[in-house]
Order: sequence, then C-alpha cells, then structure tokens
Amino acid sequence: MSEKQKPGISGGWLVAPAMVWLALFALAPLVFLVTVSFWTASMFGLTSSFSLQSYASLAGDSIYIRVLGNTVKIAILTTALSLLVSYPIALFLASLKGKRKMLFVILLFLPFWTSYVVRTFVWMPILGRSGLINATLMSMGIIDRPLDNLVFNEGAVYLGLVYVYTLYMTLPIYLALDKLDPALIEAANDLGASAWQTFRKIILPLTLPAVWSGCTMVFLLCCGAFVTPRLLGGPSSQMFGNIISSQFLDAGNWPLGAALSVVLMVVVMLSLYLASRRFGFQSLFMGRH
Amino acid sequence: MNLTMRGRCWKFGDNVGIDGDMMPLEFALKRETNPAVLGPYLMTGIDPDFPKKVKPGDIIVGGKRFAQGNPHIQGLIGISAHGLGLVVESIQRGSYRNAINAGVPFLPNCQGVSAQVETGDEIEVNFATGVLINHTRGTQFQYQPLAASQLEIITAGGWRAQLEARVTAMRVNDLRPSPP
Repeated sequence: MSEKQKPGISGGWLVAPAMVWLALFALAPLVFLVTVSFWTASMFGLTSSFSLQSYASLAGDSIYIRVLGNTVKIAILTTALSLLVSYPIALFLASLKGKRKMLFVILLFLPFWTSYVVRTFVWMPILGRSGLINATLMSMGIIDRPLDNLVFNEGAVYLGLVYVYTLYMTLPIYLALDKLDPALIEAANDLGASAWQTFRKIILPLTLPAVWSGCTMVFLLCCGAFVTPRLLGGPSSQMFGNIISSQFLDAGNWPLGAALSVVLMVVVMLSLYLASRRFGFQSLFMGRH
Repeated sequence: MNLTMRGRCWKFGDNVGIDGDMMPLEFALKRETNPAVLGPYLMTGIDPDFPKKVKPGDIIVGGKRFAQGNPHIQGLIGISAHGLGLVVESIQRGSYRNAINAGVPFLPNCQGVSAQVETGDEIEVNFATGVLINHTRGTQFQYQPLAASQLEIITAGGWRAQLEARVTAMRVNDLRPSPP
C-alpha cells in the first residue's frame, strides 16, 4: 500500500467532528426516546423504572393501529400526488434555458423561504368559508352560499402536504433531468421515436433513481407530519404525529408518546427496507443507480 | 353560574371552523384571551352582525364537527363573553376541552338537534340535566349532559376562575402547607 492510500491518524480525526455531531444529535436523542418509552408517567412526573406499560396500552387500543394505518395511507397517496405534480414541473424547468430557467427555479423556491407553518396557514384564507375560493365562486354566481367543506377534512390535508413537500420531490427529479445527456434524446428522435416513446424508454428510466429518492423524502416527511393535519384536517383526518404530539404536549405522557414514536419509526424503517429491496438502497437514498 | 338558559336559538350548520368562522385567525396568532376584545368578533366569519344581534342567555346550536380545526380557545372565549349557551351535534375534541376551560355551558352530543330548531326559536336548555325545550314549537328533547366534574368547572366560570376560587379558599381556610 502506498503512503497516499494508507489511512492515517489525521484522517480519523477529520471524521471525528461528524461522528460527535451524529452521536449527540442523532444517536443520543434516539437512545433517550427508546429509554423513555419503557418508563411510566404519573401526575407527579416520570418514573424511570423499567415498564412495558406504554406498549401494553398501545397494543390494547385499536385506535392507534387505525390512525397508524391512516397515516401510512395518507403518506403513500401524498407521495403519489407529489410525484404527479412534481414530474411535469421538473420537466418544464429542465426544458428552460438561461435567465428564464433561473427565474422559474427562484419562483419554485420562493414559497419555501417562509416557514412551514405559514405555508400551511396560507390555505385557510384560501379554502375557508369566507376565503378566496368561496368569494370568487359567489361573485361569479356559481354558488349562493359558501361551501363549508373545502377545509378541515382529509382532502385539505393532502393539498397541504403536497404543497409543503413538493419541493423535495421536484428538486431531485429536476437535477436528474438537467444532467440528462441531450444527445440521448436527439438520438432517440433521429431514430424516429415519438415524444412518448422517448419519455418512456429514455427519460423516465434514467430519472427513476431521482424519483425513488424524492418519493422516499416525501414519504418520510409525511409519516411524521402533524402541523398540516392539525391546521387543515378534521377530526377524522388526524395522523400519528398528532397523537404523539398530544401525548407529549397535552397529556404529559412522555412514555406513551415515546412508545408511539418508536412504533412509527419501526413501521417507517420497515417500509423503507421493503422499498430498498425492491428498488435498491442507492436509488432510495442517493438518487442514483 | 346558572346552568339553565332560556333565549333565542342561533342555528349554524355543520363544519363550523374555529379559525375564520368563529373568530378571526389573527386573535389566535396574537394569543388574545381578553373576552372584551374577542366578544365583538364572535361568529363574524359566518354572520358579521352576530355580536350585535345576540343577547346573554341565547343559545348557539351547531351541527356536526362544530369548532373544528386547530383547537384555539378564542372562539369559545367569545361565546363565554356574550354569556351564551352551546348545543352541538358533535364537537372537535380540543374544542370540547376549551369550551369547559372557557366556562361555556354546552351539550356536546345532541344527534339531530339541528333538525329540531330554527334560528329565532325560543329555546330553554338545562345543561345539568340535558333537557332542551323548544317553546316556539312545543317540543322537548333529552340529551346526555356533561359529567358533574366538568359542570363544576363551567359553573365556576372556567378553569382559571375555578383555580382562583380554590386558591382563595385555601388561603381563607389557611390550608397552605406549613413551611418545613
């Protein structure tokens, strides 16, 4: 082995800050979360003796399973809807050149310079009873009284989630499309392929890793979402994140909240494991073949 | 607080939201909890003149999913500010708690009540027993009232008033724990 290839002590030290960062901000909170899930809560605070009480109460109530199932369903559908919205946007951006491309990329990013909560809140004056849509429909004479079912239901949750997470899907697809060799598309055109054939046989297969990567990001974020269903959802469209947050913030039952978080993590990890078996780990997490 | 109210019925339909419908969102964002400030804006998202028309003792009748959305307490404080009662077919979980905390006498689970009353009817509700009488139509209905412990908070005027009353009672009776 040459001197250049030999791993030196200095190389290890260079990695140390990243390792410390990971240990402090990723591993330690996870260990604490799992530990707390085996504690018990009372009106006097937490008791740090080992107990399976939280997991027992979780298993003994079917509502947790129902909400978990609903959460996974919402996450999958939101991911699919995001893909349907994002791919055409990414195609459009990739087709632009020069200043126009820069302008539209900035426009895409613009809403994401504000906070997640503000971007979710903004739907309320649009969808609400006295909101923009109702005002427009009434002024056009299409309806004579405001629609009261545009918000606070599952449909509004999908809309909110797709809106706030679209960028995480659009960006990797756009980058993959932008890096696509134009010669491949020209060659397909020269050989007489139609636009649809070029898309199906050249563009889509080459951007699939970016698609899976975007899907993974959106799915993960949706599984843990709680602000959007809280602000835009109705009583029956609450997600697992809402139950977890209510245990931590309202009920003061940290062990049950932690146990629910552990269950959610396990379900998400299992979903990603199954997806990586099907599509490959590199595709899901790195966005490449 | 008297748990029997008699007054005009103000009927609202299903899906009344907390933010926007019952109270402008800005008060939730400002964390405004002063009843005098919130009262003039009650239900203005649905009926802008509602605060001027309503009188103490009147009763709001809501449909399904009343006070839904992010459970901010401002709309319920607005109801309390006017001295109104509340009868609903169903109410969002967080708003159920907020109604108790704001000291609003209410019946939370009155299936089909929207079909039995109209705005302007003179109705009487005993929130302790769950009996609703529509004097205009000559009909009477029985619904499930709140638990006694919840009614106790409402009778005291909400969680804050109840807490203050308890602390005052402890001082009066000198029940404060003696220093070690």
